[in-house]
Amino acid sequence: MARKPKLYQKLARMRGSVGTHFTLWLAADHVLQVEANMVTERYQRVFLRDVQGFFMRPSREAKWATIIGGVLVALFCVLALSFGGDGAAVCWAFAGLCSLILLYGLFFARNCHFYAVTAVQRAEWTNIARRGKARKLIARLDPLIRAAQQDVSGAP
Amino acid sequence: MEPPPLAAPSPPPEPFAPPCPKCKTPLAGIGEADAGEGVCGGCATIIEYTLYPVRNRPKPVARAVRSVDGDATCYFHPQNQAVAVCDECGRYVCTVCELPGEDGRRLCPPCVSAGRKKTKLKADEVVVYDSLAFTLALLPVLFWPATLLTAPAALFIAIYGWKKPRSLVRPGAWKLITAVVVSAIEIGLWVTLGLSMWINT
Repeated sequence: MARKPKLYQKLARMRGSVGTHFTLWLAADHVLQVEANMVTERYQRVFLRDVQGFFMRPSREAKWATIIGGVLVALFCVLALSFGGDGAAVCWAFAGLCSLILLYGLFFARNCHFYAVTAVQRAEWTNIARRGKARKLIARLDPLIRAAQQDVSGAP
Repeated sequence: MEPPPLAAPSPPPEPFAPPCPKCKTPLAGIGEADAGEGVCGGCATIIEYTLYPVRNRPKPVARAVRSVDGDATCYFHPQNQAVAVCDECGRYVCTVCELPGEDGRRLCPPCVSAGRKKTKLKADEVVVYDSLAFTLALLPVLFWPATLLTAPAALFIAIYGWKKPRSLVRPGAWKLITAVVVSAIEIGLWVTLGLSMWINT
């Protein structure tokens, strides 16, 4: 028996908090954001022919995570160099743990909020949290949107 | 005889000025280029944007037709011609009041509002029985005494949700099958444990 073709392909990785996560999927003519918990899934569609634009504004989460992680790592490194013996080992261990915060701030924390705007809605795509990922997403959707809007009247 | 009055010129189209995502102030002056950066006049946030041709499409406005003598009129706007009948309450509605409901139905505004209050789930929400059964079957294994309660619950939910609509994006049955198998094994183990305790007493 032939398998059903997949209607949706994943656009972006899952992102969310405890109990709720967001995913982004691409169909032939629309983008679907899924907000899921253990019990329900909620869908928000944005049709490609309706997209007026994408907007991105900065977020401070990445900046603060980087600053806090960097300060803690520097502090524990200084303490480790000042102490000797077991104290230094403990400080190096804490510096290693705090470097995870620094890495999170540098590579994974949110540094932008991303929105898809149509005439009737403004959809925030929650799991587009990094500028690089947002630009890649725009580059991927751009030809699809322009093809869907080819016959729009009133275009300049 | 006075010449007829000239028709008033149509107003120029409004420039594209979407609200700022942060403070909702209209972002003026960004509609000319297809992409770039702008600063919000309200909150001074730097907004990076990419725009598409449809932004210049004029907004369609539903215009009701005035009724004449003998026409059926809208229940909410007696001066407008009725164009449809509400599938829920049977009232006549005009173009402005005719709203789309689920499954292609046509509803009047009070019936749409009443429908939203009746259902706990919104129209764009679905219960994912497969994920619920899967989680109930597997997660409590970390604290195995809980499976005494969760295994039957998982099995019931998996059977109940077998024919129900599944996730739009992951409609496969593997979660349900896994939930049934795992919960059946858990129930079997509990039954075995109970029997062995009863035999040994």
